[in-house]
Amino acid sequence: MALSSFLALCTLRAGVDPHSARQTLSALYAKGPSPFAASDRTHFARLQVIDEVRMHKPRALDHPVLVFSADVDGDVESYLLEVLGASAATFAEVLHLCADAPDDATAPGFAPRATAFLLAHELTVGLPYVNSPGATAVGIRRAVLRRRQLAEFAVTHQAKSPAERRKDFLELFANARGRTPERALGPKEAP
Amino acid sequence: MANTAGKATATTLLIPLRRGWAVWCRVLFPIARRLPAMTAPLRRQSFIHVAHWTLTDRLDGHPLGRTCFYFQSNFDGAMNEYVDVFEQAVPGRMRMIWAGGLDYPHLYPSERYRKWSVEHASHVQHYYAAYGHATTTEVAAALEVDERLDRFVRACDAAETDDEFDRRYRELLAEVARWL
Repeated sequence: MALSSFLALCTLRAGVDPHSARQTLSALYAKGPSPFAASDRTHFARLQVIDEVRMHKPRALDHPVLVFSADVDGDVESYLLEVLGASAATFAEVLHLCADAPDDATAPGFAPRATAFLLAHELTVGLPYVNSPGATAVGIRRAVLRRRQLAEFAVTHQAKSPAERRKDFLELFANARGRTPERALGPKEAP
Repeated sequence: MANTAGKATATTLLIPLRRGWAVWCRVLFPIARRLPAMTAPLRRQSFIHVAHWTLTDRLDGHPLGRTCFYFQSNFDGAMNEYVDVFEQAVPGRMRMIWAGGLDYPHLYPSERYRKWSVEHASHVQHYYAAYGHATTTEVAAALEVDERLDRFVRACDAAETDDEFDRRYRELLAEVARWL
């Protein structure tokens, strides 16, 4: 599955001070898991406020922006619908910082309207780079876990008999692939 | 710290460009997208998970006065190390992109280049990394191991003896040892 990089820049609402907007975003950590964790399709995501650009020296932007960025598996629209629906209250708080954004998580159709809002503010990415193209976030998390498990298994099972090693190996790794240990072990070793 | 999640670090750079440089980038980007050789050295260094470069002359419709690079990266380690590795791994490609930045100080001495990069960086207030506990190299290694582990499991057969299984198991370990 291809990785999509999504980037939206949304002007802060009039009267919203960039400093307080930053505090709102930073405070999300204290409220539990990241709202982006609601989707298994998220690889990386960030929220930030940009209020200056350096033209020889720092220059304040007349219109500070909130950056909503996510690198995700598959198409962006279905991803946004998923996370904005699953973490509606948190994202409503974030979007409340932005001019003309839907910000009532309890209103009917919040996720579709918030998705449309973000898509309308998208800045199309010019040149993407992905170190492991084609690998999904779920696949990577699983691979990282299994690599660690295999390394540990190799150490802890050095002194075991071939039969014990086979049984434990298949219980640990074959189950995760949807193969029953019984089938893989054969009739003699099956519990 | 918001710019980090586990071993992953986020950086966002907004760098105004010298006049005319955007034209070159509009030629370069489509070529780089189509030619894997352009990014092969980065992949060999294996320190960036995901990054992207974008050209824009406005932020949400508001003109910036110049075309700028909007650059985001998710990488291993700290910003200074990141810049160092970039400089050493792909100096030519670095110049191809960044040399058009306003007040670009050249890659060497590194200290000036690092300072220039950091001056254009914006702090990230909320950062999420789904596998921030693993470095880019660990992710690449894990995918290599997982592919071979899958192949091994698919080849498991009930008719196989324990000793035959064990021989294959040892072959698997020998094959994946460099990634464990």
